[in-house]
Amino acid sequence: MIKKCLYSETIEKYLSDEMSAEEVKRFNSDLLTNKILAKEFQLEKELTVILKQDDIIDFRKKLLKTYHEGASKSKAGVIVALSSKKWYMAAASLAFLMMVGGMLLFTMPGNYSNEALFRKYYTTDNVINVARSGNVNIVEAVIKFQEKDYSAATKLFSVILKSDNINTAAWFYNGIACIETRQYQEAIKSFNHIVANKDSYYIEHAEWYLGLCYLVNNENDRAMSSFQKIASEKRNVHKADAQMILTKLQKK
Amino acid sequence: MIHYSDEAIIEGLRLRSDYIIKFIYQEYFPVIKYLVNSNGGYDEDAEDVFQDGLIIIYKKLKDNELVLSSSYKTFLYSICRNLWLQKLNKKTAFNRSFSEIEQYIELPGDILGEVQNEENEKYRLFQVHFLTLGEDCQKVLKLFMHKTSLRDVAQIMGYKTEKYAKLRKFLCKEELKKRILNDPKCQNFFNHD
Repeated sequence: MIKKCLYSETIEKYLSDEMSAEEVKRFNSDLLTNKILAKEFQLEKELTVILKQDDIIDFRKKLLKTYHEGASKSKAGVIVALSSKKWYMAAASLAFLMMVGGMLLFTMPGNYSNEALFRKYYTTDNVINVARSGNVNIVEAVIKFQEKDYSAATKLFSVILKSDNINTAAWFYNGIACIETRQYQEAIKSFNHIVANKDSYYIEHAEWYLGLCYLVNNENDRAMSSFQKIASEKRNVHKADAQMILTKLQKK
Repeated sequence: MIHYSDEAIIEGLRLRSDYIIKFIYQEYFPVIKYLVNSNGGYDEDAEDVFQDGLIIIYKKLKDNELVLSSSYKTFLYSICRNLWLQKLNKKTAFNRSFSEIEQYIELPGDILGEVQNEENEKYRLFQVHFLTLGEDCQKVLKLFMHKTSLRDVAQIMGYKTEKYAKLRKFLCKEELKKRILNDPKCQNFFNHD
């Protein structure tokens, strides 16, 4: 049999100050003698306290969601580990899709611009795990990044980079966040830093984004130089796309 | 595999970061699950213990009262271990010796107090039931708990009248109480009979 509360309406009336003085007096008296009423009233009070804990409820919601999503089994997320084979598969699929899309674009001569090419090829799908250093600020900055609050993210990353100039991950994310906020010169600076430091973990994507930044900035010679380097590398995941862009740029 | 430092985990928890929560589950839940399973508990018990442990840490963080005297992993393990031991003590069926899985520390008094606070389990159950309500009901109840006026609730929720807002609040709370009343796990805290 389904159990129900017996005194909800009475308690509601009491809590909403809708009782007369006489009714309040009787209610208070009943609380002392009626155990069920007292229990229900106690429950009501506890619920009020518990439901005011917005942050804990939100935290619990996230915990339950994570548990039910089977986070312990599935390790795939928005951020993809560069070292994982799955990443290469995803990148290959992405490159293939982009190639098909690119084919359509390139069969229409003259129907493009550097900006259009950039928009066609720019994606943040190459974003890599950044938390290797375990830097606290990185976590906050990445949270902003994931929330697509790129403006706030660039501010946090710039703070990190002032004290941790060798943090390639921060340089990389800062570059992407700068692209998103159209600060292309800043983005170029970030990606150049990674390329100059030859961090193998990020360099492939940094070169790719660097080329795209030059492209959108109408620095065609530099863009071509970047894409030529990418196109010349046998195993570069951006090779096919770089070749496509080069073909298009050479026709201009 | 990503590796967050203890400092990053703590900060991520303070921010209730989805990524840190996922990381914690991936990295530490299996150990707690093994601990509970090895000591007479089911996966569901392990989940409860793990979540309660994290909530205790979060509450201490929120109040700026958390001082890590060990690695985060050992700290979390020690809290969960204590939570499970406490539950086992209430069970008469468990007579075997307790199998340790990891190294643990003696918890500081304030954390131990939280672990032993029986209200925590009640709060978890009530909150879990609240989270099973529809989004609409959750929102209405939250608004009322924060003493939002009927007029504002009606406006925020898009209800035509204040009277309807009041009715929704009543019905949502009734549904929540009904779920609590009919949950056998809640009988320890709220026995209506």
